[in-house]
This record gives sequence, C-alpha cells and structure tokens, in this order.
Amino acid sequence: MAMTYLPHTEADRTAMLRAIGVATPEELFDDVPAALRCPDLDLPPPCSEMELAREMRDLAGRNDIPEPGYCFLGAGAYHHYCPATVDYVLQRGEFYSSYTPYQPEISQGMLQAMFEYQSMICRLTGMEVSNASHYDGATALAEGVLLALNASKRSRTRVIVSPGVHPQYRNVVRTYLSGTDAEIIGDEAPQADIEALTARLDDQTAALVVQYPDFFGQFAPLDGLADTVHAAGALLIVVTDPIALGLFRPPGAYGADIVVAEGQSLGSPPSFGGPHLGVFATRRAHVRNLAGRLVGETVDPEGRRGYVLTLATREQHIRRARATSNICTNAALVALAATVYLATLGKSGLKRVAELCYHNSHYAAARIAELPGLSVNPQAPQRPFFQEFVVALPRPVAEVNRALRDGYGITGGYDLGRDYPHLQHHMLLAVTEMNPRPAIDRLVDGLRHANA
Amino acid sequence: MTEPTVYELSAAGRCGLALPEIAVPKTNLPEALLRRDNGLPELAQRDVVRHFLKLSQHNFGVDSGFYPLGSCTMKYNPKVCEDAARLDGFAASHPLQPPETVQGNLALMFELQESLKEIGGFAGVSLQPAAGAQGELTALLMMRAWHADRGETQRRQVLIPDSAHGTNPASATMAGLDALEIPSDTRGNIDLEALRAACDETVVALMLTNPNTLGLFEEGIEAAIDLVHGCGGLVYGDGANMNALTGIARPGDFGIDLMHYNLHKTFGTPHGGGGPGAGPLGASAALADYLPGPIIARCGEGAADDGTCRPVMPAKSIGRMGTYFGNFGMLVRAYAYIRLHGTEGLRQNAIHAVLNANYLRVQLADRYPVPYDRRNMHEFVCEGRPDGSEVRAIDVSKRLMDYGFHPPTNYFPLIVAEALMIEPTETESRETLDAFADAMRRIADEAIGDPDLLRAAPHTTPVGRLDEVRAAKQLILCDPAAPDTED
Amino acid sequence: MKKIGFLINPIAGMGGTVGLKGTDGVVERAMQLGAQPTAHLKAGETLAALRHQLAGTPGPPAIAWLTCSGKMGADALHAAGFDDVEAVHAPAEPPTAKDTTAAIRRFVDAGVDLILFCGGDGTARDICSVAGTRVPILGIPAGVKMYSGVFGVSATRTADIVTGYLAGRLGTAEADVLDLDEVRYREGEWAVRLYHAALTPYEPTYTQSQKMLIDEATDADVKQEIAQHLLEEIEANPEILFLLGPGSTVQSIGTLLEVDKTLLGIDAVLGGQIVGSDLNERGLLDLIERHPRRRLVLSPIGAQGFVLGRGNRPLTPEIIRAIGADNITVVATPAKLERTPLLRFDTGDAALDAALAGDGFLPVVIGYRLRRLVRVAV
Repeated sequence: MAMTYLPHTEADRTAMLRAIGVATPEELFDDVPAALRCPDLDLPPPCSEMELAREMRDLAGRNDIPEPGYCFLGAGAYHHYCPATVDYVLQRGEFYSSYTPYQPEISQGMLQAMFEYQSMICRLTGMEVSNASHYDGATALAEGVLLALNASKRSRTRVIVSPGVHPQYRNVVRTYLSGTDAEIIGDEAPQADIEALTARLDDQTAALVVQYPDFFGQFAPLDGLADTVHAAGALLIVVTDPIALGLFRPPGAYGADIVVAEGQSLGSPPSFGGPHLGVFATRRAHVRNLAGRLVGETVDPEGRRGYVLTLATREQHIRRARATSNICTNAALVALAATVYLATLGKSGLKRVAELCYHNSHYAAARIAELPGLSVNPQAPQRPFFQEFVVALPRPVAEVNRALRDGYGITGGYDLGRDYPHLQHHMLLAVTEMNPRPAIDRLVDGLRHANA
Repeated sequence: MTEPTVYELSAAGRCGLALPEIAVPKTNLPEALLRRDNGLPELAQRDVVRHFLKLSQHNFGVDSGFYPLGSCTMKYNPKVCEDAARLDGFAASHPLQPPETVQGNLALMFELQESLKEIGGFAGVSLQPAAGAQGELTALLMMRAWHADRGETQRRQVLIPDSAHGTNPASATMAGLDALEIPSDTRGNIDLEALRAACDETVVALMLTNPNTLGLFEEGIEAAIDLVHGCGGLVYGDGANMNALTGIARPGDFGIDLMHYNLHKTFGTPHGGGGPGAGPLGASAALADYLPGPIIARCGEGAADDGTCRPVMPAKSIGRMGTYFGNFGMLVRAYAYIRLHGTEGLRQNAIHAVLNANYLRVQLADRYPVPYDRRNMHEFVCEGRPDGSEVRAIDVSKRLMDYGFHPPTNYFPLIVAEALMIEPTETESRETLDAFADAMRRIADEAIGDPDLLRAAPHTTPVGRLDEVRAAKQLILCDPAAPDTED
Repeated sequence: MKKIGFLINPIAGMGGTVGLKGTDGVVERAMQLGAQPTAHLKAGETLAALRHQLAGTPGPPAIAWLTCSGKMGADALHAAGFDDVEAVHAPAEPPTAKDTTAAIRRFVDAGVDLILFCGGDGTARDICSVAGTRVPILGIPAGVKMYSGVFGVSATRTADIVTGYLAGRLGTAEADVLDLDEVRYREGEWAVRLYHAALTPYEPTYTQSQKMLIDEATDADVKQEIAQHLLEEIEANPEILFLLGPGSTVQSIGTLLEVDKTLLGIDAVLGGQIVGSDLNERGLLDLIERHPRRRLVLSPIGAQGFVLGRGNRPLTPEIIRAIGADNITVVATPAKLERTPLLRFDTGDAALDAALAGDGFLPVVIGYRLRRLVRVAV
C-alpha cells in the first residue's frame, strides 16, 4: 500500500540516500544499538481512511448520547449552543495547523486573535490582564495559587480553599503543590461558609479561593470579602463561569486579585472533558508573575500596528521564587473558539444566553421543588443561583439516573455524594439554554416517576 | 494591511447570533448581583466571519507551506482525524456520564494506552497530561513520590543535559527539586565523565531527550542509564523527539523509567496555534502505580474480561493533573493516526523524517556551518550566520518568510551560537526540500552581498519586523478600543 | 543626541608585540625593542564599522563626541568621518595615566552616556578609578592584558555593541575590572586581581523559559537569581557561617540580604547579619575557630577561571584547609561561564588544589535552584 502521507517516490529515496552517502535507509540508524533496533510492535494493522472513518463512527456510536437538549449534567462541563461561525474559523488550516507564534510577522492572525481574546476576557471578568490560556480551569487555578504563593515572596505557605470549589480543581491544586511545602486548608469541612473560611486567615495565608457561582450553582456573597482577605495580606482568587458573567457582576468588581475559569462553555463542546480552556486574569500588579503566554501590541519600522508574544523574561522573575510554571503548549485553539464565540454573541447575545440559563434553570428548580419527596437547594441559607442547583432525592442518585436514561432518554445530574459525604442522595442538575421547555418538563416527569 | 480589532469593528446594537426568546415563566433576577455592561463588542455575523477570515490569511500553518520549526515536528495533520474528533458521539459526550454510557470513549482510550505502551516499551500509560511540559512535571512528582516511599527523601537533584529544553529545569523547580546541568561532549552527547561525577545518593533522576535537541542520537545512552540507575536514580525520557524513533527503538527497552509522548508531534495531532496538545506518560512496571489517574482498565465486575472498560485510579497515584480524562479530543485524533499507520507506517514515518533531515543537512552544510557534523536523526542544528557574513540567525529567519517559508527555530539549543534548528518532518517532498535549500543558499549570498536586505526583512509580510522591546516596555495587553465597563 | 566620551591609549598593546607582559611603565623599553603603536588602528576599525552601521540604520541617534586632542582620540574620529567632535583635554607628550584620568573627569562632568576607549586592563583600571559605576564604559580590545569584562570580543563587534546600546537594545551590567597585581608581580608572581566594578553595555544572556522561546535576561536578573538561591541557603542554615568572597556576583547576595557587602573584600554573614567585613587572615581564622560549620562562597575570576588563585589573599592554603575543601560554593553567571570553560585552583599548595578539584567537576550555582557541572583543571 502506498504511504498516503509520505510523498517520496522510489526515485526520490534513491537520490536522497545517494546525496547523504548511505546505501540504505537503515544505515541512517547506525547509532541506535543494533540489538534494540526495529522491534516487532504488536499494533493493529493499518487501515484506509475509509475503513478508519467507519471504525470511528462505530466507536463514537457506542457512546450513549441523549438527544440534544436532554442532557442535564454539568458540574464543570456544559452543553451550550455553539454558533456555526466558530467551527468555520477553527477549520481554517492557517490557524489550526500553525504553532505558537514565535515568529510574529508570519503569525499576525493568531496573535491578533489572542490579543482580542485577552481584551474580551479582561472586560468580561472585570480584570486588567488576561493571559492567552491554560490547559483547563483546574490548572489555571493551580497556576493562580502558585502566583499567590510567589507574590507573598515565599513568606506564606497556606492557601484556604472553599469546599464550594469544584472537587477536581481542588485535587489538581493538591497534586501541583505536592512538590512544595505549601498546604491547602479549608475544604476539609465540607460545609464551611465564607465566614468560617475568613476566620482562618492569618499571616501564613497566601490566598483564599472561592468559586462564584460555586460548584452548586450558588452565588456566595462576595461583598467586602476582598477587603477582609487583603487586610490579612492575602490574595483573593475567584473561580468563575464566563457565561454567568454575561449577566452578573464580575469578580473584578468585587476586588478579586486573580480570576480563573473553565472556558469550555465559550464555543467548545464538552468532548468528554477536553480539550478545554483555562481562563486566567489578574491585576496589572501581578503581570510579571503571570505564567503562560501574553500577547502585546507594538509597531513595525513603518509604524504599522502589530502583535507579539511579550514579557517572556518574566519567567526569570518567577524562577526566583519557590514555585514556578513550566507551561508551554497551552489551549490556543480553544481560546480562538472562545474569541469567535464572544465576538459572535457579543454584548447582547451573551447576556441573552445567561438569561436563558437563569430562567430555564429556575423554572426547572421550581417545578422539581413541587415534587413530593424532593427538595431543591435544601441547604440554608437560600441564595441566588445560576444554571445549576441541588436536588435532594429519596433514593440513590445512580438509580434515579438509570431510570431517567432508560425511561426518558435523559442524562441526569451529578452524584454529589461522590465528593461530599453529607450529600448522599443529592444530585446536581444543570439547565442551560440548550434545554428547551419540553425537555425540562420531561425531566420533571422522569424525576416524579423515578422517585415515586 | 492592518485589520481592525473586534472592538474597532463594534457598533452599538449589533449581534452576530439570533437566540431564542425565553419560553419559560420568568423568575426575578437578583438586582444587586447584575452588571450593567458585560464589556463585549457588538458585531454582525458577516463582520465576524470576514474579520477572522482576514486574520487567518495573516497566519501561516503547515497547510500553508513548509514549516521546519525545529523541535516542534510540524508535519501534515491527516484531515480524517479532524472529522473523527468532531463526531457527535465523541464531541457531545459528557465526562461525568456513567462509564456504561461512554464505552466507545473508554475503549478508544484503552486501546490508545495499549498502543503507546507497545510503542514505547512501557508497562503503564496515563493519558492525563495535557502537554509535554505537564508530562514532565507529572513524571517528576511521581519519581519524588517513588523515592519518598523508599525512604530516600534526600534525593533532590535532577540531572539535565545543557542541550535540554528549558522546560526541563522549569519542571524540576516546579516539582520542588533542584536542577544540575550536565555538559555535552565534543560529539554533542551527554558528557559521561561529568555524568559519572554527578551520580550520587542525591539524584532523583536524569532527564534525557533522545535524540537530543541537536538532533543527535545519544551514543552513550546505555552507559548513561546504567550510571544513573547505579546510583539509585531514575531516568526520565523527554519524548519530544520520539518522531525519530517510533518503530525504530523503544525507550523502555533502553531502561527509561518514564517518558511523555507529545501527541501533537509524533502522532500528528494539529498544533492549534500553540495548543491544545496532549502529553501522555509511559511508565515502567516499578512506577506505573504512581501514574496520575484516572486511567482506563478493561474488565467487568469480577475477574472475567467482558470487554467493558472503566476508569480507575492507580494504586499509589499522585492524583489528578487536570479535570476529567485529559485532552480527549486530541486522544481521538492520535488514536486515528496510529490506526491509519500501523507498525510499518509509523516506522516509515521515522525513517523518512530522518531521511529528509539528513538530506537537507547535506544540502546546506557548505553554506551554514554544522557544529556537530555527524549523521543526524529527524532534525539538525546549523549556525545561522553563513560563512563570511555578519548577519545573525534571526536575519536569515526573517528573510526566509519573503521566500514563502516558515523560519526554523532560532537560538536553540543554547549551546550553539546563532543556532538554526531545522526539522523538515517526513511529510515534505524532495521538491520542497530542494526549494528550501535553494532559498537558503540565495539568502547566504544576500548575507554577504546585501546584508541590509536581511537585516530589514521580512519585506512581504502584512507587517515588517516588529518592535518587541517596545511591546515589553509599553505593555499594551488589552485593546485600548475596548470601552471601560462600570461594574 | 547621545554623548560619547572617546579615548585612545596610544601605547596600548605595544608591550605585547615585543614579548612584554604589559605596557604599563615599560613603554620606553618596548619602543627600544622596536614596538610600533597599534591602538589607533584598532580604534579606527571600530569607528569605521560604527560609522557604516549608523549610516545603514534609519534615523540614527546623532553622536556628539567628547575626546582628547590628537592621537588620544580626535585624529581617529576625524579620520573615520565624524565631525561633531569636541576635544576637552589636551594630553602631554608622551601621554600618561594622568591624561586618562583628567579626560575621564571631563567626560563624567559633561554627562556622557558612554565612555568608549581603546586600550587594555591598565587603561580600564585608570578609567574606573574616576568613572566608577557612574557611566558605562566599553573597551575596544587593544591591550596586552584584557582580563576585565568590559571589552568587546573584536573591533567590529565592539561597534555592534555601541549601536545596540545607543538604540536602547542593550542594558548595562556590572563587570569586574581586573589587572595584574603589580606588587606581587614584582615579587615574581603572575597574579591577577580584582580592582574595581565597572558598568558596561551588556548583551543579554539568552536563556530559555519556554520550549522554543528564547528570552533575554539582564545580568542583574541573573545575579539576583543566584543571590536568591543563596539567600534561601543562608536563611535555612542560621548556624552556618557564610564567608562571602569578592566580586559583583557575590556582592549581589549582600544586596539581597540588605547588608553592606564589600566588593573587593571577604565578608562574613551569620543568620543574615554581617559579622565581619573585609576580613584579613587573622580575622578569618578567628571566626573560623568560633564557628564549626562554615561555607565559603566564591566566584571565578574572569576568563581564566581562577576560583582560588595566588592573588586571593587572604585566602591562603591554611585558611582554605581550615574552612574545608568541601565547604566551598562556587557561583557564576552563565555569561561568565561562557568565557570560562575551565575552573582552576592555584593556591600554591598542590595537594590542596587536588583536593579542591575533586573528581574533576564542580557544580556552579548559575541560577535559582539551577547549577551547572563545570570541568576543573587538574
């Protein structure tokens, strides 16, 4: 079979080998110890593109995916509408087959798009500086925590994290810090509220981390929190949801020092959890401690505006501190998707999406709250929520979800008992603009029967 | 040629997407929490499309032309792999769905783990790391934990050849360890005498890129690994250059304990303008239990292998390196790539990558001095100052753009002055290589006859040579045209 | 408009052509041996290259030259085609070191942006005795001895540095000004020692922060990283007496500790406090006796790589033995190591030198948590 992706003809190979001065291609590998050379690999035999396309369709078909609109699972990865403009742009080979724009004159497209991404993220979060992305929301948070530890000039080693922060984010931060002497506290009490967390601030605290809206979809009160945290000499880190910020006050308005978010919602599908987008924004004061890439505006010799990767030397400054970042490849293409998404929806479009999520989820919550034996957001105090809410069930979540799937074609909510021992039989449901009223009504119906 | 920004294109009242009306009874909004203005621009859909189309035309990818950016393996990305990743069954699947509803995903991940184990000679693979650098950090945290379990907490040093990628020492620091640079010898290999002097009871690991960043196979690899193992240390393979060895040799067979793969290099997933990538990690039997999870196991309830797959955490796992299952979309593409090639296809890729790089080196060596002039693997490093000229590597690179080529990597590795690191990859034809060599020779002539032509290059790009010093001094990181919001 | 002070030491290099180890104080002897002045030729090369480069750059900053009349500067500038030249000092014939210092004083008073000179270590030393670190200096290499870190590698490359500096592309760094220790030389020893710190235009070190992104770090950045590394060691070990040797790299530790570390002397630090300044042999012995745990921090001198040379008084073999060969930390910027392929120990005690050389490699602190293994001459 011809090697589809190799353009070499037999004549090419012969001429090239002669030019190099070897007789066979194998001679090129003389430096590799002979005994270990060219092992037999037990891989599946190759297939044609046509066969591959079929195999991939079959594999994808083995997943049980509900009809659009019938998935109510969120917990950090969401179904939102993705405008057709996004994939149209992402499929441009000039973008997706390029690499990091180290050579700016030939990479102005990606650089300007990243600059626009940074600009829109700054406005959306209410912050002054955004980088050009991290791997995902969790690693963005880990980098934020490292920044806070560095900003304390190594004198502080403790980070208080709210139990309302996504459990997997907390896991990732712990793994990232496992090589340092920093410790994470605060989330060992699963019901700790903001007062309980701020009570633990001391001169060893580098940062306080809260999520807004939190893992349960609720808006914890942030008024005055930044002042309290700053009075203790620590930084306030807020994990947020960029869709919510289409409508709700941004963390920047509350005085947050670092804002991170999962940006998958902005134009990318859940895709089984990746690739996603780590959004990272901060204050100008921290720009030299910021990890990841930054795009800046400049000019060419004729005064024409252009964009370049900038402040690369800040890594040197970071390295002086105990912990640093090694990030290199990031999530540029997912950030490009977010750029096109935000430009397409714009001011009124994102606001409308947020309103749809808000009203749809509140409608669903109100209907479910009417069901006998079920209660919504049972934990006092009642707070405003966005898009997600907690339902206390009389039965195990897995059983209810099975019934929803088998009887109603619905993907149900997240089993909170997996991460919060006090929330056995509690389900986290996500309702977005993708879930139309008939789907919500079917969910309510399903929950009624599944719990009867 | 300047393209306005989305904020400059914005006009109040426009919107690029029609959205549905609210079809459910409305709930009161919490007024105190609302913002007046979310600060986004307002564009019509046609403007959005024209804008980003224009931007794409100001960008250069592998699909645009030859992209010999050394150490990045900018090879052709098969389009069928893109289609595969976009299949609804994959793209719309939610990472927290019950395992029984995502058996297609889990089977794909399991098979990819198996293939990567086989290709690298490892006992275990975790697909979690999102990029090569994260793979390095993961490996260092694992090795730290492994030593700690053996009571050897005094091990704090990570040995790194002076030709290594800058991410290696950065990863070491991030893992709370100290880096010790080992010099290279006159043939571009790690200096074994120096390595011997460095090997003691404080060594966590040697981080070794093979072929190294000079594009050279480490001639003393077996001796080097023996030295490190001899002092109780581990050997980490930086798999950045695995494109040269796939099907040719298995790092695990050499005694490498851990290695990350760059799926966006070796296995043809697109680079995406800087990401996303994926950096799966292979581990020897001794270290596999420390891999980050979840990894995918195949078996049913009970001992019988009923073909179903489920995510599990390895026994001594260091934990998660990211949410969910890593960059799944990239795993789909890499799986498809491996299926398209099979063993012999992957081996032929390596052979042709090495063939192309050696051919190009031979074409250029008489004009661009090659400091370690021996047979190279998939890439080579030459000096970007043609003999007898006073120009710098950056000038040659910028001038290449005028000839329609993406420049090679500049100034890396650091141990070669004015380095140009050239990696043609296997998917380029002899005609392309000849055209590139021809351009390089003409530039070498220009460097002597008209050096100012190079110093002022590029001349044909949308903008000329950009003032990076000014960018760092002025620090405009956010569009001045974006209006302030009042939240 | 930039002001450059320009000065040629017309006799620089003459001693070398006739086998003398310098020209300072032996110019007549050199001339008797048939030596010809060459410095003006080197200066001419640099000035011609400079003129060519400035002509090729769009909108170059015009240069106002301050110099000495005749062969100490003005002649060469005019020959290269520069016309904005003001002679602010008329040297004696033959010119002496006094003419150099007088001219430099005028340059400094006039607020020049850069002092460009043509000479060797002796000239650099004379200039620094007046200019200190107030004005950056740059040498066109023309002397017999050029151990100081203020010289371009060639006449043409020196012109590159001038244009780079004028264009704002290059920053400045502190460099060591070294010269022969004349006293010891008269005693028959060839010992080079540190005399001053100078400011000099600095081509940034290329460092790599991300995979393919090569960054430029300033000399001060790199030194601060090294200092940060040691600071942590000092803070973590309050019971260890740290003896900080001479040179600007080691001095940067003092700056970070916020203590007054001398540039040329050996100072002692305990728990972050200075407990001894510019110590002599007795002072050192006294401290060493009182502190069973101690560590000596040194940076190699210039390109020769002497970590300990015979010039390193008061670090005599006895003192080194008392400190212990294992208790020496060597620090150096990567830029210095570029020019220093080999480290050397030459304490005058061969057995001690062998002990210090160990297995032939020494880890040198080159950054925060970053060391490099460097070969030691055995």
